[in-house]
Amino acid sequence: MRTATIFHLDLDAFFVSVERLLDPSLEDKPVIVGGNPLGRGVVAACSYEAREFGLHSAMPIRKAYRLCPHGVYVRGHGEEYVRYSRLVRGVMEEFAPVVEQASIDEFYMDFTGCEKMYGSFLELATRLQREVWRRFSLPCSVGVAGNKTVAKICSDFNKPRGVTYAPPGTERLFLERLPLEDMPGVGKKFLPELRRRGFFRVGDVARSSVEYFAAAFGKAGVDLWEKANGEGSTALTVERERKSVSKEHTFGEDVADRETLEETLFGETAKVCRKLRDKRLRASGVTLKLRYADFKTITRSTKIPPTADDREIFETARALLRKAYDRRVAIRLIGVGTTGLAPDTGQAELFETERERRRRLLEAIDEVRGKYGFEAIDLGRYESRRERR
Amino acid sequence: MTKMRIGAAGWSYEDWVGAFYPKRESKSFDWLSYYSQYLDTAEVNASYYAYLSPKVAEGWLRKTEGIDEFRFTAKLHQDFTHRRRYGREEIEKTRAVFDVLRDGGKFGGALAQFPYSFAFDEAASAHVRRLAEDFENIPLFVEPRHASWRRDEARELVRGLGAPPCAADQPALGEAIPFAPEAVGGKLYVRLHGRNRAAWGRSVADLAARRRGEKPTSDRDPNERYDYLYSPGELGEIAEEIKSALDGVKTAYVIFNNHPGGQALANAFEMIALLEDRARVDMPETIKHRFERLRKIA
Repeated sequence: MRTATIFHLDLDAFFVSVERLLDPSLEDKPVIVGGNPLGRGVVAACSYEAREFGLHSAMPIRKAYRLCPHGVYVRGHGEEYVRYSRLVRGVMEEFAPVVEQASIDEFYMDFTGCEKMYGSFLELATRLQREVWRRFSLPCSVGVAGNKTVAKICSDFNKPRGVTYAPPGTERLFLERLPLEDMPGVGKKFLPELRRRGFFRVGDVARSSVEYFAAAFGKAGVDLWEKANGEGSTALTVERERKSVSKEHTFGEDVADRETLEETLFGETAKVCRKLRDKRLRASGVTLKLRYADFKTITRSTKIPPTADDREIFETARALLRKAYDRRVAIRLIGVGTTGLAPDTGQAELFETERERRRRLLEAIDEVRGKYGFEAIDLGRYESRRERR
Repeated sequence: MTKMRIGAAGWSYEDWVGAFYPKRESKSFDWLSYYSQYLDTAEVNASYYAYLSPKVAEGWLRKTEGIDEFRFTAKLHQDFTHRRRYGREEIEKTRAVFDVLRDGGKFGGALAQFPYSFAFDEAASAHVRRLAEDFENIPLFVEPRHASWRRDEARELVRGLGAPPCAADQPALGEAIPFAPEAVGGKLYVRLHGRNRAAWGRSVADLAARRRGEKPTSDRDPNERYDYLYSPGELGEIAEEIKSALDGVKTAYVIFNNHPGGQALANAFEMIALLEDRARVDMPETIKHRFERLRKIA
């Protein structure tokens, strides 16, 4: 079995880092994001300087204020966080074949099988970290391991600005001496119970038997025992929320022929648009994804007036393809995504009689496809190709 | 390697004194000379309102003397783009100014900025074609604002004329064209108007009222809609979009039009850091003082 290589990139004190980009006078000060210090909210994030006073996220903000009255309390800029999160994700996507965004400031990447391309994983991790800093002045920590759990523990191991690699086979050794509270899933309730039974370090759990943990703690116990032994999932969840509708196609054999690429793109676009219309959504962004034979992956995006029209989205995606496909390397995968989704209000707009007519036509087509299958109608693009066959 | 030309739309703004230009100036102090010490590109907007004398352009050359790298781009007079009624005389007058700049080696090109109402149709495409003929040998950039110009036929027309379409960032209202930088003939032109959505909406409403022959609801400062400072994240996103369009581009113009209070300049310096990958950007003390954020790159 091939050993998996999973990266976990975690932006250090992300909200605080962004606040400091907006207002550099916050540098080196204890900064607390979460609003009015006398209000009822909780700490959304705090700087490392604030953590020295015992503050941590999710702490009631009034308590934080008692511990650190001289801190700088800011309400936060949600929109900016989302923006930077997207930008960082873009960097990850340039490097990694698969990216899972676990939260606004955490990303998993699957680099399995990429060792030849990137050489040392430790170097790659440093490079990613440098790239995020160079482009956006955001500090982050990266963990590399054979699965998600250990990768996450690694990224947490040496924060901030840390890079930690647990090569295959060393996971147990790496985890052994860590205190149990460093394990994901070991919270306020679980920890005292473990301690009462004499478990303090991860190694204590690993050396115990799985049967004991199953009997004592049920499923949570088995999970913990497995994690302590360096096991964990390697499956990345792509697209946590429906913020986009996309389809992609991996070719059986790599393709360099532009016509085939455009045809495939057309087919994938039609599926995406069908889905958009099914969900009564319109998209205002189109993303093209290309993976070259050498696994380099690029994405190109552009904005459009909101639509779910095959032709408009295809023309946009094709323009992106024509502009982007400039390497003389064959393509392994092509995909099209739509973003900026908003409900289709169905209102006919000014200057839009033609679009409106097409929208109704496309709805009719979807109905036919619903009855007779997707291939029943294909808007006349496959024709020329089929005749030649 | 792309030459990035990052600057502002105009340099004569009273409210830049203190924010960019020093407060206590001597008699010989000149805004353009000072501007050209820090930025290598300026877009001339005055040419949109009036036919300038070639003497004025000669003055610009003198004021930027010794800075060979400096370039001017100039907006075409509204007769060409908004009224769309002009003849030989108007062409000659316009060319005379361009010629001075070109002979001085400092002409970047002309910008034809069309109104929002200028939708793509046969008449519009004929007009753009004629304009390109009338200004043959002049590098022309075309800025349509109606989304219909995103259609394939429209883009092919503009590409066929060798005139790079100018991508404008502004609040997304109605059928305004979305921001999508696109290079033609190795050139790229981007204009950033700010995202003051509320003021932009009000100004569109006022314009519509004036068209109907009614009085606008209030007499607001028409510059209000450009009153905007891009956030670092917004600039990061714009920079990424520009970078993704830079393949084969020799010169890329990035012009900030959010001029009130010198915000255009603050954003221009930040953009230089982002697009030229620079940790430090040379800028005057005044602006560092006004925009704290700039200290990170100053």
